[in-house]
Amino acid sequence: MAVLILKIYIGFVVFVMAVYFTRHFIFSMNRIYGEQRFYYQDIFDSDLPFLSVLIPMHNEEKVASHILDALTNADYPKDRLELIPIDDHSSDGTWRILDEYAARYPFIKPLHRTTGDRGKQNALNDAIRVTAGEIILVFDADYLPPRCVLRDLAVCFNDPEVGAAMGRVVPVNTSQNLLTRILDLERSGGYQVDQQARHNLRLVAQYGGTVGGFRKKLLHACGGFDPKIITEDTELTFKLYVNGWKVAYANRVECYEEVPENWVTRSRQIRRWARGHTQVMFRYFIPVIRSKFLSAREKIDGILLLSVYAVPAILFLGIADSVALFFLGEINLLTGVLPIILTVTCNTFGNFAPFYQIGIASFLDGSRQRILLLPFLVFNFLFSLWYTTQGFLDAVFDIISTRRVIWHKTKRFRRSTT
Amino acid sequence: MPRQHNESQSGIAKELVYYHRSYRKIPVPEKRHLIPFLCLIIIIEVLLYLFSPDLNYLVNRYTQKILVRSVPFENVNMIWTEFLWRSITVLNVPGSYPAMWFTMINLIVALLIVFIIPQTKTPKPITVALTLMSLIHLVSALFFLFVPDRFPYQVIDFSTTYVVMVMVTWFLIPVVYGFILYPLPSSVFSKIFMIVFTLTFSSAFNIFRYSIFLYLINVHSFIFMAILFFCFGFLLDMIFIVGFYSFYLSLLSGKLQHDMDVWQWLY
Repeated sequence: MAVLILKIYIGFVVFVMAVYFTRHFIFSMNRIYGEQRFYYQDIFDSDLPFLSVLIPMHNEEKVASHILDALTNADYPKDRLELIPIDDHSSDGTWRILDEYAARYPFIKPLHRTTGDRGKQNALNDAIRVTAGEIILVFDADYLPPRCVLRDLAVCFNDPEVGAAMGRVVPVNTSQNLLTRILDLERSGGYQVDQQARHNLRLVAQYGGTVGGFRKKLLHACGGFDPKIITEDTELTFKLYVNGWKVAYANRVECYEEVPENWVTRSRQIRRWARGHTQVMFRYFIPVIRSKFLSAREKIDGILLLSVYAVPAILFLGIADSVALFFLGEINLLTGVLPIILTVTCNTFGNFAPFYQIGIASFLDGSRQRILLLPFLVFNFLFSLWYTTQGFLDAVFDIISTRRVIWHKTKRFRRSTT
Repeated sequence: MPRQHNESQSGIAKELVYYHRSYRKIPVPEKRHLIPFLCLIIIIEVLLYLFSPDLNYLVNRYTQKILVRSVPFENVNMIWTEFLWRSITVLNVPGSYPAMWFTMINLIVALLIVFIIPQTKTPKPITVALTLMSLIHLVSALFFLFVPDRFPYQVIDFSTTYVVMVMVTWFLIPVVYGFILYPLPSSVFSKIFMIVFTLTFSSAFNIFRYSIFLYLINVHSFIFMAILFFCFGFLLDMIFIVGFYSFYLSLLSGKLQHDMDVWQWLY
């Protein structure tokens, strides 16, 4: 009986991997051949709304002035703009930098949080209460927005169907080491192909919590960000979709970010993402299926997107299952399903975006040398398998124990303070 | 004269300024190319079906030659078996059960790696890879510590599984490459060359891997069978499949970057 259960589980793993293999293959083909769905900046270029730009910051003195300089330099009319950098319990010189900028620019209105729980979702909830704009844009503190990014993101809200917008994230510190180069590949696969294909196919494009924005009234209607969920971006994505709103993805709206430069920081980041995303999966799995606003294919894609951080945990258990079957004398079974296992293994080579998807993304991006790093994704695959599984288990324990969730900020590596 | 100057400037600008990468794509390959490409893949698969037993025999012969340097010749036997209705050869060598002290050493080493490596400054991906491998080896060591007599395999079972895995990989290479190379705007010849080259590399690589696997099991016992099967099997094949693909794609990307006939921009 036990062996039968183990065999059935292997079948389940193969099925899950095959589903994701198909999904990513469709995305890759759509992106490289399919008709590309435009973003809005060619269609609308005036009638700009009043924008409130939120920048959550916790001990960000290394990067605070960079993003504020970039945003004050934006080509958005300043009479329709307010920048609200949120000093979230900082213990370094962040508050001083914010106050200096506030003194120089009247549209910069810092919010200093010294009470209440720390964390991005809490900071955003507090800041939204003091915003004047109906459209809220959010940037993480390590981002370096180009001049046009506010205008480009804002125009999509002229479409009454759009609840949120998301731009493309591009690493700025790619050349630092192998990790940053691998993360650059991963981002490329994730945005150039994955997000754009989902946008093309009218599936569930994801709001990523930065280089993006949303309508304030929608967030209010949904009750704001849940302090217990540490990936407020995924939560908002699904809140919007199940209530009939869409996320517009803007591949053309690129913004630089700083990716982790060491594996320890990356492990914490990916574990946090996996934990938060899985929290959202537990909460929105049923609502996505039951939503009357989603089409069948949106529901399927929504479920697959929700479950994406569960896949490494499923695969991890599958490996343990295979080892058990091996010692139980079932090597013939492993040989029998070998062709299927091997084929779908292709999908796992490259974390969540398989290697061919990342290859196509880099090819479309016009890269040459970084494509040569594709085989190194094997490190990322094992690494992600390990830490994403831990994040998944964290989320499971969050549910079981109802323990308090603490938000951990990603370490910054910016060298220059100029 | 100013007009000429402007034209010249315009010419330079056209030479240097390219459209943005955001929405560019490539033309769908013409359907008339699909059938010949599919036919070529099928021909390769048929050829593989016909000649893979011979190729496998060749691999086994060379493996045997390498093995006899460290294993007595009479102990390295070539055995015939069936796979996909064809007779194929596999190598058999005497296997051995690990001694208790050897199992204990393996157990301790695996435990040390699992618990100590994460505390060191070893890069995390290496730590994770070593930890995963050590966990599998730990299970193996525990198995041979407590129930060695229930180990269900002989070397011939492992060897047969290995050879089948290699042959399945050979059959998969044209299929996987067919899927991922067909969409790319390059010649059919170069794609077929990639497939043939990868198959050739795989054959050569397997001589060395098979030799090492059988040597380890022969000399150092069955305790290594699990780790070899799970960690150094198809995962290594995937690395070189992806490696060759990345090399091909990189060359193609460099070649096509400024070819305005290849790219289509909608933005």
